[in-house]
Amino acid sequence: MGTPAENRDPDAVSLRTYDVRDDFSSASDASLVVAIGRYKQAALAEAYRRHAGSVYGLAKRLLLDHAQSEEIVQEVFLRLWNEPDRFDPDRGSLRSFLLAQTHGRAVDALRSNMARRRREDRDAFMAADAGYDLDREVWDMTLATQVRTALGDLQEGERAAIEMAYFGGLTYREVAQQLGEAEGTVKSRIRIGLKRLRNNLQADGVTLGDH
Amino acid sequence: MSMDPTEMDELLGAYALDAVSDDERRAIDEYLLANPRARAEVQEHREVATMLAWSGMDAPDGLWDRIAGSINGPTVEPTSELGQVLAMRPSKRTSWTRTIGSWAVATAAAATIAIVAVKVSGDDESTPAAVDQHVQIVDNPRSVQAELTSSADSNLKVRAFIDPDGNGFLTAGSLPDLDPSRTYQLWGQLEGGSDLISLGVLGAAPKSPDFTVKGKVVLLAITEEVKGGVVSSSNPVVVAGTPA
Repeated sequence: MGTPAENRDPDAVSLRTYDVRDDFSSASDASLVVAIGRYKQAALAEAYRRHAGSVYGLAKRLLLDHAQSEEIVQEVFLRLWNEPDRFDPDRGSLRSFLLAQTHGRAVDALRSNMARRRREDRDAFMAADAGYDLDREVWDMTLATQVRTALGDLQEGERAAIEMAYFGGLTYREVAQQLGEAEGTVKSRIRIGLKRLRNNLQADGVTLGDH
Repeated sequence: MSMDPTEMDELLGAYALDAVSDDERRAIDEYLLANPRARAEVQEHREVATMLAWSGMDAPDGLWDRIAGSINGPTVEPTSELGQVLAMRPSKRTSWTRTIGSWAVATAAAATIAIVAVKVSGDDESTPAAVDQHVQIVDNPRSVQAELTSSADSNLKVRAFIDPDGNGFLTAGSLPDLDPSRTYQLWGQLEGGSDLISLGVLGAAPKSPDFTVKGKVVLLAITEEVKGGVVSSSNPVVVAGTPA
């Protein structure tokens, strides 16, 4: 992560004097990003208020490391500040965009040998009382319950493949190895499972793309 | 890495979960560029993944302060001249490619561009009032958007927002600055029309220029021209896109 000087073009001038709309609490995500593109720090603060918890929660879930997870939150929001053009509202919600960035970074970190060793050590420690299952501590919202239910409705092989890939940061090949399944089977299960999960959530009245 | 489309499709779920190898990811990145159906599928998978990641957890205390501290670089007090404008995004120094061979519109449009009206963009694109107007346009559910892209350079991406009254603006920060003797020029094709008409001369380093258009636009394109703009053009299209 760069220093403040590296993160900002030296020619850029912060003219917060001219913040004409500092209350972004009711602004859409798209207009928040337009405002961020104009150096409206209040808009970034609102984006952070809305999404930082989920970003941190996902990073922590993958990395099991508070400091690394904080670093990722910082990276993701600074990147939004420095490169807001990367967000395309036609390709999904801001939350989806930020979480995809978070997941990619967390997986990169996880796949580095050192992080992986740390995780494996911690996994071995935690397996005694937690086993391999979804971490309950973050599922404290109604929506989370719906998602958990929909996930539970998947076939066991689909659910395991998705969880191991998404929350375990494993490639489908690694998932196949761990489950003792063919690679083709695992990639199909991930794809079909995600489609089924989407259908289950929609049948349950959850609107995707709004979160 | 060589994979056929069926193999690519099979990997889209794993790709959306970052569960593919680097080689596979690069191959799928390329595949997605040319395949809107596959892009839509990946988007759907990512939306589902977003739901999986739903968390009621709060971010740790003090983290926002660190982020805010990082973005608060040395603040330059506005001079009276600078006080007329808001700080805009600096242009990204992307490589400049004038020829966009694979844009079908480039060759077709270049031959038919004809002038109906040239409007020089005002200098008010950066005023607080303009910022507020832009936010209103974006927030208006009846506004339309268009992504103007170049197939030759994925870094070139301009977004257009147009409200129902025809007031529009561009986010054009990804366009490289031109020599001061040159300018970007915006063209639009109206519904039912066959020609591209000029919607504005954007300047050599446009950031978020305003434009107005009378009627429904079905195609937007930007060309590079001599300073002051032209009444008709046969230059290649830099970026183009269709309003959704």
